[in-house]
Amino acid sequence: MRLTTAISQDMRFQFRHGFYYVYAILSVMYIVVLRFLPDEMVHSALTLILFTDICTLGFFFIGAIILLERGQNITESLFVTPLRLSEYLLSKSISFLILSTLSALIVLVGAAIPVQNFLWFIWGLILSSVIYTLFGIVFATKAKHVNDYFVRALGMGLFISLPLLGHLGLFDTPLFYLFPTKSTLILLDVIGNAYSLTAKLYAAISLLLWTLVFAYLAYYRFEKHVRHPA
Amino acid sequence: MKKVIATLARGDLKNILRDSTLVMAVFGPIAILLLLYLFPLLEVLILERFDFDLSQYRLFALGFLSLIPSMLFGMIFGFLMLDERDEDIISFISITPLKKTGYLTYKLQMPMLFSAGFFLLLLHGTGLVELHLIHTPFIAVMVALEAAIGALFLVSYADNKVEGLAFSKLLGIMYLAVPVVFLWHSPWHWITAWMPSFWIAKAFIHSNENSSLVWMDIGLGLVLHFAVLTFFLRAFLKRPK
Repeated sequence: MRLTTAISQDMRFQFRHGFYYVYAILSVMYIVVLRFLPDEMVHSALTLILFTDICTLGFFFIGAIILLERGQNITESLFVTPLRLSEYLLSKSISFLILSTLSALIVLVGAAIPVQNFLWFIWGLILSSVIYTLFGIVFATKAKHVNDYFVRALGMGLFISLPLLGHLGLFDTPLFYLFPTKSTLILLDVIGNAYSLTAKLYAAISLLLWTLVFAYLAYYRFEKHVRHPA
Repeated sequence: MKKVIATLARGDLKNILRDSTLVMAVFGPIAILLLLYLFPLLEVLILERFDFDLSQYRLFALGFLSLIPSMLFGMIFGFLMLDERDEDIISFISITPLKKTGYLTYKLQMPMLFSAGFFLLLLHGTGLVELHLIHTPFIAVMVALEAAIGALFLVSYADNKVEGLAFSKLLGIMYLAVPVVFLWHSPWHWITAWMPSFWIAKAFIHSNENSSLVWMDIGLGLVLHFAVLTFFLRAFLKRPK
């Protein structure tokens, strides 16, 4: 009950600040672009759109939201209520997950993209969206202001995005399999391209493990820097 | 007036240097400059690896990439103004002799100057494509106006930085006309003619072909840019804060 209330509050906040309108417009634009692309380019372009924007939107916004809540002392007030930190973090992740999933499904349906391996794809979309929101929270806990958040997170963000080079065919190495982004790219790409069962299983399990790692890091950093700062 | 502008410029420079993201955003255009310098090498690499001739897209690459600094500078100064609004600085300035319009004039001049400067540097510094020298200052004015439009869009409609971030996502749509004009070889590309960047892309193509149609692109482009700018300007001046 507490969790559902927290999620609905977060969604209301996102709605009030125009996130849903912005992603409605962006989704329509993506549909238009995908509809006009040659068939052989559609799936690659879709993977890029999902990876660089829709799936990672939580990362883009979470820093500003947490800083705004900290600035207005909302976090302090929240934690004197029965709301647990784990529920707070879950609520943030799930609210962005809902926006990401809605936008992704609208683009898929609107652009009439033929889909295969849908369950693998959804698993990848859900876990990736949660991972990148948690990844943002890890950096937002120590940031002083929004720009500081981006400076702290962008370097690491660009580093973990290196597997994109492999996806574009510019540079590849087996080391990329250690990055969560490699697994994200595989599971977002499965709707249009064939991958072995081993690759899909690896990506699915790897994303689950990375979710746990980032959940722990986000919890630990929030506890240390926001709830009980030295 | 000059003293006031110098004081404001000093304050902005301090903000830009203090705020490392803004420094990074200034490095964005420099990264584009480097990329364009390395473009001929990239063409060779892609031709060898993928058997794809990238050189046919030189004009598009330059046209598109040279607009990105104007978007970045528009965002930088848009966020600076949002910061200053949050700190009530705009309200304070509006009751000084500078007034809200003077403040805005200064704030928009800066990204415009930077954008036009970087545009000319990217165009003439890299020498990737040849545009007629008489046309480029006019195209640079349109590029500069893009930065002002971006900054004004953010500050006119966003109430705070969180909304500013959301709206900055929409700024990219302003540039959608450029790939449409360059890559969509159909009369349907005219459906993006309402976007100011459409006329910049058209001017690029016609100037490269040395066609006299470029003057129509520049004329209509400037009118459209000023119309959009005036629209956002009115929205900003109507805001209570």
